[in-house]
Amino acid sequence: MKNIFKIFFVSALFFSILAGCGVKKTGESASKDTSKNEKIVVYSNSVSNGRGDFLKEEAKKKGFKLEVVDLGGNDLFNRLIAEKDAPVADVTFGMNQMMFATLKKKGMLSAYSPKWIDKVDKNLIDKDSKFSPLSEQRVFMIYNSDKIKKNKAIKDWKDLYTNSDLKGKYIVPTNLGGATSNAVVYTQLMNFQDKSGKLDISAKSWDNLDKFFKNGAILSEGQTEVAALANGDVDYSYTFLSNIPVVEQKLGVKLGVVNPPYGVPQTVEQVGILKKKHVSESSKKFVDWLGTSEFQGKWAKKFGTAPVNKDAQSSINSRVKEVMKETTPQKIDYSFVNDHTAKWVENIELNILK
Amino acid sequence: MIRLKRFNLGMFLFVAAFLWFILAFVVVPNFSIIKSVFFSADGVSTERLQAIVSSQRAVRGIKNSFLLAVTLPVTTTIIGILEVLFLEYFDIKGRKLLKVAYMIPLVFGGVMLANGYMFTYGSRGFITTSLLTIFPHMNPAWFRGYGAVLFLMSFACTSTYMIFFRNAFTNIDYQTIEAARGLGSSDFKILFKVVFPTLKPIFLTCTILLFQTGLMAMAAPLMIGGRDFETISPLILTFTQRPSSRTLAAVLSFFLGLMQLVLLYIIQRNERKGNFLSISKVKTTIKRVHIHSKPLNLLSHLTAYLFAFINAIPLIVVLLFSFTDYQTISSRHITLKSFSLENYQLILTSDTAYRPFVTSVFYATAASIIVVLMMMVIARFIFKYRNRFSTILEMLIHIPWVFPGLMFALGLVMTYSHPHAIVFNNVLTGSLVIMLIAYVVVLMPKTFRFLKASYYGVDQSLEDAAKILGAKPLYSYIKIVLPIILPTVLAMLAINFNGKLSDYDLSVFLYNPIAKPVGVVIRSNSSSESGIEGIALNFVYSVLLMAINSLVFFFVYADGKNTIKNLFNGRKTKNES
Repeated sequence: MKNIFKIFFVSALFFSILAGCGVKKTGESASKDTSKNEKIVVYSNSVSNGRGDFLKEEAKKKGFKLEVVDLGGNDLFNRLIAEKDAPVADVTFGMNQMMFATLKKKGMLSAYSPKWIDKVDKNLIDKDSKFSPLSEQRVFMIYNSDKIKKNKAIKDWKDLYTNSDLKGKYIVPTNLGGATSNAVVYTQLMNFQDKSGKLDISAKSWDNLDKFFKNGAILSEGQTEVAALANGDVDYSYTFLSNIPVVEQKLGVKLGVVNPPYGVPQTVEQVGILKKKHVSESSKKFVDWLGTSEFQGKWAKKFGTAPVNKDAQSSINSRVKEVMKETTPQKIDYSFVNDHTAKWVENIELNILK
Repeated sequence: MIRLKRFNLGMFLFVAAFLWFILAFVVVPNFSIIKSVFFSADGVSTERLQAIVSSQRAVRGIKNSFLLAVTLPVTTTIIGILEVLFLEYFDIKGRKLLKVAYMIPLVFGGVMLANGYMFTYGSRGFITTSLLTIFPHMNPAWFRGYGAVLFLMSFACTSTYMIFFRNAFTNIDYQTIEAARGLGSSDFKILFKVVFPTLKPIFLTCTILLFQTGLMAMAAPLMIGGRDFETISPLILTFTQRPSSRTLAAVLSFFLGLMQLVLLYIIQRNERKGNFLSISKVKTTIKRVHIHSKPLNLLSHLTAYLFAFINAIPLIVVLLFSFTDYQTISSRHITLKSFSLENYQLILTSDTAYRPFVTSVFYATAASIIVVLMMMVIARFIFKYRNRFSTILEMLIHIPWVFPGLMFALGLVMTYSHPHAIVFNNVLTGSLVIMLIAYVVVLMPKTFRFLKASYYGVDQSLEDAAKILGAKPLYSYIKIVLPIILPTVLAMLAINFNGKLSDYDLSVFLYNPIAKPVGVVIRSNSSSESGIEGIALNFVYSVLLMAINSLVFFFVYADGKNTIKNLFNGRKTKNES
């Protein structure tokens, strides 16, 4: 019987050592957190792929201590809302104006006008200063321009499902969880607003969307929208602006961009400070720094973004500039989109994706 | 009330504390999310139920989940039992190798397993490409739909059989088998009439678990079921994540919960009818039998090796791809040049990539120990005192099976985001402890079932003997009962640890920014927004996770095995070690 206890003891020891490591690690960072209460917790969906580390390093040079939390767009949004009554984050950035508008509606943001706000186009600024714009994002169809000539490429989303040659040769979103896939949907629906239709969209448009999803191909696992295109699995796919220079370099492919007659959806990524009992000065200072032309310029050069700060626009990656010239922003009533997206997506999930 | 005498104060306090735990962390959060969903500002809405019933997709999802839940226990039981028989009952050559192969599902599961199968049997997988050279006209996307999901899950879910069933099987009194043989029974008659009936509690627990796994299946249907075979869990996940659609998620979960409750009820009734004692008092270990019929022998060998092959291939594929770059992963063309250590270097040298591992190991360890200790006492309590109170308590423990983890996590966050009297006016949201609580809660039902089943394996007369000899209850528990259930305890520790090591669904709502678990990192890597490198890194993450899982199993489970050996061989091994 002694053996059993020996084993028990050893395994207990093993686990407590493991546990000890864990406690020490988390304990350490926890104590750091309290001893220097100037630490800023930043929630963002724009810090993956090394962007977070870059942000931390740059911020450190300016004396900011950051705890960066990397979450996908929707996870981030839902998490912020779940923590509404006890926010953990000090600052959040990267979500688009629609998501921020919802946070504002729920009274979760604290008003602040950053110092750089006069460098930004006035039309983009929230009138209550609850959040401030950082960079533009666009979503559009893409094709492999080595395989398809520009004049042969399709001109509109509807060409995808009206042209029988393309059946199963274009990628459609598998789920509607992300901002990009949402944009793919509303850019098509918004041309057919109809107060009498289902969820304020005409029946014909719902029909078309149904065809769009039915005739498309879905991604297999281990594949991205752009990789499936680069592979030759499909002819058309979709992506977002800042992704273009990154994937072109990584996958060694030259992408063509489709600009429908009505344009492409353009959203603006924002930054906001969360409402807490005590909003720290350092949060404000951090926001003041995050939007400066100095940092936005570096960020744009490295990660392909399109900052709205006019002084930083000279640093925009030349390829991104090209794509911006090739596409025109679609005229969309974003508050209408924002009010309807949840219902639209739900309808698609229940009745179209089948 | 005569029973009260046997109640000791310690047990009473423990049960009281446990009731508080259940109330605070199971009942209240689930209740509050249901309340917020069904009785919102707009009042009770039946329109939502309408939306589900009129959606073809949702209705088909429910049907598919049910189909999988009913068929999975059958197929897995067949495969699982055959595997156990190949290892422990029939004499098969190359047993050691088979054992390793059959153990693979223990450490290799979830998304990565589905990925492995996809990369093996999928349209560009290597099995498919080699089949295509033989049959050029076959459909490259043949590995899809219900059949594929069932195939994958049947093999992946054999882990419960490999641990618990095998463990109970080797504990069978071999003399009963010999007696039956002496009376002229055939090998197969012995299996069905003598061996299997004594394993009933384990059977039942495995069935419940498999039914539940089939019902809640997420990764496999999502990735290889495709549009032909969609199940309900992915739908629930999508709906839970969007605040405005949570009613739908709640409605769907109720369908699942209902099916579960019916099954649990049936099983519980069945259990009351009594169980056979499954542990031998006299230590005669089982002897493997040689199959005398030549064709049957050949067939068993072939099947045994085929099973091992099916288990091993996807793992090898994942291992291979973890050493390649993202171009190779997306094109699936492996050449000698595509191998590199870059991915590993990136993860092992970066502090931000390394920290999530430590966090997850800590949380999984703590949760697994807490829940096993807790359930050891509670299962013992329920096993000993059969009355209305213990029946209700048992039902309360099963609540986490009825509500999807995601919804429970949400309830937890929302309920405790402001001071609440039941947790002494603390705010738990955003704290370090909330995720630990959630892990413990969702691990409860499974742990409880297995430990309870293992108490059935303890011969009451042994305890009675100890009592007559004057041993105190705690002493006889530690000296008599614990050694018998120890293999299950250790296995539960390992299984719980491995199960929560890469958890995503719960963690994403609950983790504290300073302690980010590895599951969340993996998921955010696989979203297309995070770019193409993420997919390559995920292969590395899963290989590392597998390594940790295997280590834990090797350590904990191997020791569990030694314990059994010590038990059975008595003094001899003791002196050796």
